[in-house]
Order: sequence, then structure tokens, then C-alpha cells
Amino acid sequence: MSASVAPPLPGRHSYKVEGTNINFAHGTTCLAFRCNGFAIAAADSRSTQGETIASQAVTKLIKINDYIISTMAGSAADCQYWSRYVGSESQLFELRNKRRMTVAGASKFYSNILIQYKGRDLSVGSMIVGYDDFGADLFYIDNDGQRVRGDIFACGSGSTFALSVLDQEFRPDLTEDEAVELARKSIYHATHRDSGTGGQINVIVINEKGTNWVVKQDNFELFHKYINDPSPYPLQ
Amino acid sequence: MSNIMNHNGAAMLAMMGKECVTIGSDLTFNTGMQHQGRVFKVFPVTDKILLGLTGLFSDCQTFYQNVMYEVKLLQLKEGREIQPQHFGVLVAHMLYEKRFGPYFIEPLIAGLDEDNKPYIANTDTIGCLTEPDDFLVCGTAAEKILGPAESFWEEDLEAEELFEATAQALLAGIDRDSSSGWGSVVYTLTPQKMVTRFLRNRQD
Repeated sequence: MSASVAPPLPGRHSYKVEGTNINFAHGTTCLAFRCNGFAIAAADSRSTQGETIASQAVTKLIKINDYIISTMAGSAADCQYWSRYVGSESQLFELRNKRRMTVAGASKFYSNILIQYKGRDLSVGSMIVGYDDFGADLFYIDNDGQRVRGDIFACGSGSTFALSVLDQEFRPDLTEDEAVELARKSIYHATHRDSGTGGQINVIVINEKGTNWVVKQDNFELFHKYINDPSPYPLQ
Repeated sequence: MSNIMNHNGAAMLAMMGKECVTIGSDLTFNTGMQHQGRVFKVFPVTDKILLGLTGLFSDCQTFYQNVMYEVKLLQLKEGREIQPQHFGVLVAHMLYEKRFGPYFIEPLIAGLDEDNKPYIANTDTIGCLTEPDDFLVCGTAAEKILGPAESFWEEDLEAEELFEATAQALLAGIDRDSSSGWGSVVYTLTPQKMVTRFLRNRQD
């Protein structure tokens, strides 16, 4: 018996139940980047529980409002609930102030919530991508309370694969079509090499006209386009 | 993935038919969560015996070399080919020999004996032999193949039907397992010949 251990403060202890796994989207690949005049958000659609594929059709790009998208990594429930919460607050903001919430504002609001819940096992790793009066903007936020602005981000187990493709061809002056193709290719290579990433490839473009879901494609369709397979046996 | 048996990933399935057996396997070679490339996991032992090895791939290679040493030695000593039933016992013995420092493998044996009677067997890591008369599953995708295999398999299937059942069950299982895939191969063994067919898999 050790007397020095203080009992957990009410409402401050961990709610994690031993042996449960609520972090459905831990294996994942999400990426987002910013070019002149628009931003891109892209993700795969696989959800794993251990080694088992729980679903191949998960939507990991969540609409906060018409101009802001958040990507989902970590606990699906946490990401979905708080993205929706930030979304409703952004709409109230718009009604009260007669202008849209900025991407910086939305991400700061989101991050402040995560800081309030710090140490209570929320699991969120999200890129907040959008377009506002100052142009395209992009932030990375997570449950530790981190909030960073940047031009290129990727997160999840397949992010290293995605980044190596993305870094190779990224330029700030890419056209929208080029950027979409680059996002598609980056996610594709993550689905191919990472066992936690797979299913469909989703890409969203955000510009002054709002969000536009441009790609929703099964990765297998792209196998022969991207992979010059040197295997000596037929794979058709 | 933290378990050494799941490090490299595999999906394997053997089925027994009427004077024929099939053995199917995926081709991926993982390290943890990364797909590194493709390898063959089913090895020839004699013209009518195939040995599928799942688990830690380096142990699979070592074990295959050691088992072939024994098989060829027997061939030279006795001037006859080893029979599948005999080979199953040999594998079980070789694994139990390492009872307190086992190979991290689960072998799957499929073959036809001298009377063309089909034989399938598998063992656990330390050589507990099971010899059923329907089908067997192995690897990280084992549980995911088991259900489809149960519904596709029927008694006394002919070679072509047996291939179809094996392929369908294998593909269904692989698509639910993140650690296996990247193509697969099914070997169909009949008294006349062995047919090798590659399947069109998802590549994620």
C-alpha cells in the first residue's frame, strides 16, 4: 500500500476502459496542402481494428461548413462529434457577425476545445483546410493541443509514403487539376504500401467557390496507372 | 503486428476434393505495417506434395531447407518418394524437436499419395498434427478465410470446382485482412498434373 498516491480528482480521471479499442481510424492516410488560390484535402477510406479491416468505405473528410474541411485521424467518434460542433458554432458565428469564420478562427476554436479536454483521452489528429477572406489556409491540430499553420501536412500510418510522393512534385503554383492528380497519386501510393491504408481515394478541392468533392475512386482502378510492376508472374 | 507470428502476414488455404487437392496462398511480404514485396509461400516437396509455410518468413525458409534435407536423404536411402502422410509426421517431429525454442511457423501440407488419395494436414508451431478431410486455413487471415471456406467447400468436388471454391474463399478472406494480399496463387494438384493459377487481387 502506498499512501503517497492521491486518488484521481473527480472528473479528471481517465475514461479508458481496459481492453477496448475505440481508435478506429488509427491506420490511415490523410493529406492536405495549399497552393495559390486553393487548397486540397485528401484521404483513404479504410478502417481497421487490429489487423482486421472493419470497413473500406469510411468518409474521413468531414465538412465543417461550406468553406472548411477537417480530415479525420484518431478516434472517429471524437473527430466527427467535435467537427460537427465546430461547424455549428461557425454557423452561429456567421449569423451573429455577418461574415464567415476564418480557417484560423475555426481551427483555433477547435484547438481550444481539445486543450480543455487534454489528458482525458480524446484522440484527434486533424488538418483544418479551407478558404476565407485571406485566401486558402491550412492548420494541423491534435489532442495534445498542438496547432500549426503550414503548406503541406499528412498524418496517419501511411503519411510517410504519401509525403514522399507529395514532396517530390509539390509546387505552390500547381493548377487545380495538377494538384488533384498529385493528391490522388500520393494517397494511392500510401494505399499500396501501407497495410493500414486502403479502399477508396477521396480528394476535395477548396477555393473561393467553396468545397468541391472531385475524386471518389477505388484505389484498385489506379494500380496499372501508377505501378510499373516488375513481378515475373501475371497479375492481369 | 507486435506478435512475431503476424509480422510478415499470410493467408493460406488448402482444400480436399475427389482425387485432387488445392492449396492457395497470398503473395505479400510485410514487415509490420509495410508491404515490402511479394514472395512465394508454398514450396514443392515432391511432384505430389506441396508445403505451405506461414509465420515468420525467415523461419519458413530455414525450415524448408531442413525438411528438404530429410526428404532427399530418405529418397537416397530408400530409393522411393516420401508419401504425404509420412511427410506430415516428419514435419510434426521436426517441429516438436524444437519444443522449447520453436520455429515461428505454421505449416500446411497438401498432397496426393501413391493411390491418389488426397491428403491435407497442418500443425501448430510445436508440431501438433491435424489431418482433416475437408479444408484447412492458416496465417494472419485464417479466421477471415474460415467462414467463406466453410460455405464454399463441398464433399467430392472435381479439380476445377475445387479450384473455384479455394479461390473464392481465399479472395474473400484476404479482402478482410490488412496484413495479407498483393496477389495470390492457387495450386491444383491432380493425379495427372499440377496447375498453377494467379488470382486478381486488390493491391492495398
